[in-house]
Amino acid sequence: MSDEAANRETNNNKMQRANHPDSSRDPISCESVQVLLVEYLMNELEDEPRQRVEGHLDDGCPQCKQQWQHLKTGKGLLLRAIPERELSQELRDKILASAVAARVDCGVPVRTPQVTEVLASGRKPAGRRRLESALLGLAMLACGVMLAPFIAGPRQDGASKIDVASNPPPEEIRVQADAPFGETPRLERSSRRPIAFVAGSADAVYLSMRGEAIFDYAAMQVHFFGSDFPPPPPGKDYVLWLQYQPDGPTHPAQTLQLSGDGRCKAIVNLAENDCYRVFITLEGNGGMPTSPTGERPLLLLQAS
Amino acid sequence: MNCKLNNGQVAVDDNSIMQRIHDRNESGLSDLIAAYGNQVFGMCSLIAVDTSDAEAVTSDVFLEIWNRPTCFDAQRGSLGSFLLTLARSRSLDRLRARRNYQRNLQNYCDATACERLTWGSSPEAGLVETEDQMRIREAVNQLPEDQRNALQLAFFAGLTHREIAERLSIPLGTIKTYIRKGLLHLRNTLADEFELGGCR
Repeated sequence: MSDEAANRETNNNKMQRANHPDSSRDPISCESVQVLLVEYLMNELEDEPRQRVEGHLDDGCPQCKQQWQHLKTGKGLLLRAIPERELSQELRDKILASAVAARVDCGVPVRTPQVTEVLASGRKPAGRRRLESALLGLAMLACGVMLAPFIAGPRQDGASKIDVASNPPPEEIRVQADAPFGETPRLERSSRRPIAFVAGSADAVYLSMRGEAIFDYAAMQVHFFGSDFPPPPPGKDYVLWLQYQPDGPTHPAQTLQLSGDGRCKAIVNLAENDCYRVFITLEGNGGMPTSPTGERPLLLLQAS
Repeated sequence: MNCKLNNGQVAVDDNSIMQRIHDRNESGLSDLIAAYGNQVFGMCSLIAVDTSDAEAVTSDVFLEIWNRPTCFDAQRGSLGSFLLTLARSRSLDRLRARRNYQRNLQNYCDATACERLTWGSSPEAGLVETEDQMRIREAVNQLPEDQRNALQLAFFAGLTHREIAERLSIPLGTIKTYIRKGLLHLRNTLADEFELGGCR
């Protein structure tokens, strides 16, 4: 205790020097870092000294890193010493139910984490297909999902690259979003009407997006048009994927850039003349992933 | 890598759990609760004023990682430490939000050697202590009283270092010294026994 008393003033002076704003311009010393490590461990440091400590540790000072590791280990032991308490099955179930019922997916309220693909009435026979427009939609989500398919347009033989702006799908199928999750939505034809994909259920609508994909096998391209897309959460981008075979690999096609009003479009070259579906996921930005990394598909568009 | 839990059970690989949570696969959350639910609930029960609060905070902790799995960075520490730290932090937030927090805190600080802390098994309270935990508790109890009190007030009463210094009428620098020495003492005492540097 006498040692402590003797060192009190010295320790306080060291900490004051380490926290002094003017000292931010100088490299921080090991002595100062070690004085601050306990506060750093307890998240009690303000931004400036915290950044200086982190910078020093990142620079790889072996002595301070070792001290930091030892303090962290001590803290871990202390936390580990807390007696466990049996969590009731009822509470476990309640937590899981809450996660499913009201998941917040990167800022987008969604429901259940179960993907249900509704769709399509089966694929066309193999071979070269030409769809002037084929769309199937689905609205999905809510953590769950809902999917909705639609198909549009009669086939046009000999179709070349399609100018969608001047040749909108002649016929569309509207998807009513009143189906419970996991069940096939009821379909209702409506001609020349916007196609709304609403993810949700009769009692709760969580997200709506629209989209259509037009497969142009003559030009070996797929045109995707989307609207009403909510802005992606920070650090995320919407990525369009292609899947040529039902059980085949998925291929990243393009990152979708949204306009200010939530619209996007992409024209992607096809590697095969028979594309099973396109879909969209949320992925971390900064590079194109090689396979979907985590976020569930947001919208499935499948040729039928 | 699978890790051995305190109770000797082999836990599911943390990486697998987190990957499935990232994938929005409920089985990941279910396994997370199975692996760490009792530890998290124990931590919350220690700090919370009643079982109802402890349950609410436990639920919040797991839902938080389910909704924001990116908040866990495996480079910065183990999943178990992350969850316990989160549980402690959220429990203290809730404790501070109570209107009678200051009064309870005064009672807490007045108690000799922080009697409120249940260092040991308490079957009636549903608390179960493993052999490892018993060994750590013994090491904590062997710490000088000043160090032990400072650690307990800092970690489980949610006091800042400055608040501890004021309440115990001890200079701030000395409080920090107590905490640093206490943690290092704990680590050095148990280093060989627990093969520190392992998965948890």
